[in-house]
Amino acid sequence: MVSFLLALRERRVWRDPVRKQRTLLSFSATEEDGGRDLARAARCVRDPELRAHLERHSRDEARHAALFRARAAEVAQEHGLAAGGDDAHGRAWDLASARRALALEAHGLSNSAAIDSAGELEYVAMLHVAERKAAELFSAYRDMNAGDPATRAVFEAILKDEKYHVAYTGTFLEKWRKLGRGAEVERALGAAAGSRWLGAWKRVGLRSAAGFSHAVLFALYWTLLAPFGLLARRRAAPRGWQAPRAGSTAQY
Amino acid sequence: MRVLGLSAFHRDSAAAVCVDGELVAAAQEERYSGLRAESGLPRRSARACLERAGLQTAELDALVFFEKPLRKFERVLAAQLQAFPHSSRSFARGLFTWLGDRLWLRTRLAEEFAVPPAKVQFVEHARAHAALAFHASPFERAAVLVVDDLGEWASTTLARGDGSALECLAQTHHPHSLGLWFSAYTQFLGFEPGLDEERVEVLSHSGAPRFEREVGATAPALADGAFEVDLLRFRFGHDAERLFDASLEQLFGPARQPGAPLRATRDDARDADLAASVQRVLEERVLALARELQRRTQLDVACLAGEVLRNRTLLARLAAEGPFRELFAPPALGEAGAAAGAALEYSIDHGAPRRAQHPSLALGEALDVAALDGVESAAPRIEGAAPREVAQQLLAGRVLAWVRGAPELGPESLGARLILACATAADARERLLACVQRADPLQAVRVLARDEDADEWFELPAAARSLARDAACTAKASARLRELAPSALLPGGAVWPQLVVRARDPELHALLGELGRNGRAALALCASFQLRGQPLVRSAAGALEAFRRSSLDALLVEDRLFEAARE
Repeated sequence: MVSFLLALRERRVWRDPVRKQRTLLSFSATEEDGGRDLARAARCVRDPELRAHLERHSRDEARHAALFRARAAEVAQEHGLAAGGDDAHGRAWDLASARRALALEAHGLSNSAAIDSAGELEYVAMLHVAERKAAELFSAYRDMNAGDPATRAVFEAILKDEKYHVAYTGTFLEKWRKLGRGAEVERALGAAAGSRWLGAWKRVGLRSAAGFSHAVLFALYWTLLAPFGLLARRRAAPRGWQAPRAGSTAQY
Repeated sequence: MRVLGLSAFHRDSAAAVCVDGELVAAAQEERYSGLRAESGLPRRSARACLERAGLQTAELDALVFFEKPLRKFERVLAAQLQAFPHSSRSFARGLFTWLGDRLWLRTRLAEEFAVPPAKVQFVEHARAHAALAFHASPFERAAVLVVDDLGEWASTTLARGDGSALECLAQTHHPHSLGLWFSAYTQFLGFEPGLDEERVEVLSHSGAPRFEREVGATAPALADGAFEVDLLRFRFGHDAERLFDASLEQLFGPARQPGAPLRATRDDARDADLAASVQRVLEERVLALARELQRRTQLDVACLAGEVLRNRTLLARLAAEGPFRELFAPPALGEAGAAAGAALEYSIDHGAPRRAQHPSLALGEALDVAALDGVESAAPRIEGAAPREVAQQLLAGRVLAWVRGAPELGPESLGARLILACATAADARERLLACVQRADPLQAVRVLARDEDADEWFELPAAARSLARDAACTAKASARLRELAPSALLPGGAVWPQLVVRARDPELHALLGELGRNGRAALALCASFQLRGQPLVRSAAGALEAFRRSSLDALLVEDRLFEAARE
């Protein structure tokens, strides 16, 4: 039932050019950030074979980012879309910062890259889970874009790489299992899958809270604020020259 | 002192780094996100700026936001209450954003950028604008005029700069805002408010100001140079979807729907005439502000900032009829520039010396030409002869994009990301714009000319000379220019000039020299290199991508030439 509702919602996203463009741009940003994170991980790992895979993976992500960005630009042009309005960014900052760990890695703009807080094995397990999920999603999105060959082609191209990403991370996990680290691998895969569920649960919670907050604010407007509103209507906006406040660096 | 300045949550989010009073990096978020006028937190541009400056966030002395959130919240709340009971929907929507996010901006910025909350500081919006205008100017003392749409409370600010001190003298407050007023008419004319004001400006050249009295009554002048807005005609306080009241349609007839035919013909010029009237009234109000500023400061030079002063026709009139001997406008007059202004203001206010700034604010990410290594097999290198090559291409009737160095901060590229055409071709303007999918009769193009040739091509008042070096004003075309480059003319014979100074941009100056050989006109038409609806091209790879999607004949990225036939 849940996946049916999600599929319904996703179909609406892909049918609406504005949401399609924004979704493609957000994929582009995620791929770009992911590529940067992978490049950093490649510098940190000790296994030269894993390093080579991570470097290639990083390049793939950068290419995917460019593909998504280019398609988003085409969609914007096809439908005469223009600016990035405030609405897109007017969501609760918890939502916006949910991507923080992946958002910025260089120059101390986030706590650290994922590789720093996880070992090689945990990092590869996280990649494996993420790439498998991405392959599933992109495959579904490809099918949802049957009527848009250009977008479908983008997902098609990216899916080929995703399959390789799932395969090489799976090979490494298998190698570690054979080296007697099976329990560690299973624990890491479980933790990675769990963190995805936790993230999804948080998002549902935040969306519900947002709806509830809107309702509460609407009710407040017609109850508590009504007398203040009636008083404020009588007060004319200040016209003509006003004295500036003294400069300061406080919030007010 | 190392300061990161940020602007966000309005439009044109940007970041800038100031080290010891000098701007060393500045970048606009839209060029990273791909969303024109991007308003989100400028994470990527901040990273690019820190990278260019060679800094970690831990090394910053302060992170300065271009606005005071609590003061802005006060204004938002007051406006919502004053609009009671029409603001119920916008109240819930707006307050949700404020209570869930903006009120906790210090914490959010501290966490996002991994700096202690005590290092997150705030500069008043109007001060941030004024600071860039004054501290980037060549003047030691100057009057400063900021005419903006929205900030905390202030919409217009009169200020005086003296050395490192910047003193605000007087302000007009929201909702009395010329920026919002002009945007409301922009929307009335079927364009997007906050983005398409330039189109209204260009449209105004085609009309006659026959509605000047009616339009003037919606923003009457006050005796002391100030103005007010007739709040019965506009809905600035509580409705972000429609800025004008239905009563405006009783004055001028139905508002034009977006995409509907423009009424700008001889038989029915309602839209063009309304645009001309709005433009005329705007000019009158800003001239009054300038006279009041001069009266208060007794200074004869002025620095300009704020979204409204991006209007080039207005600046031309201010230069011709205003009270100042010389005017200066930084290349980034709008919100993006305010990020740089906030960083500068904090630095200089905290003891950093006042220094000369990069004249065109070309302080973005360095051009990554190496990214073209894999695709350049067919592209010949132009070793040290780029101006000659570009000139040959233009003289052969081709339209070319020229990408050099770091991109500039601000809405227009003055040299780093240009598309160029030979000015004397009859269809030069149309071809230039069509190549980047921006064919639009309301899109102006610039006429590039050498600074020393200005008098030959333009009728520029002395006060407009430095504005024209930043392509910040229009000018009347000389008879010879009208004859040679008719496609560059706006209706009424004005043009949009950009004077190229040899010391500031020797390559672009050399290009004009090459074009002017053998008695030819040393002129070119240009526009910023961006496709329709897209932000300015940022990287070398982005330039190649845009080139492939355009119908440009050639692309020159530093010394690498790509030609359409080979692509």
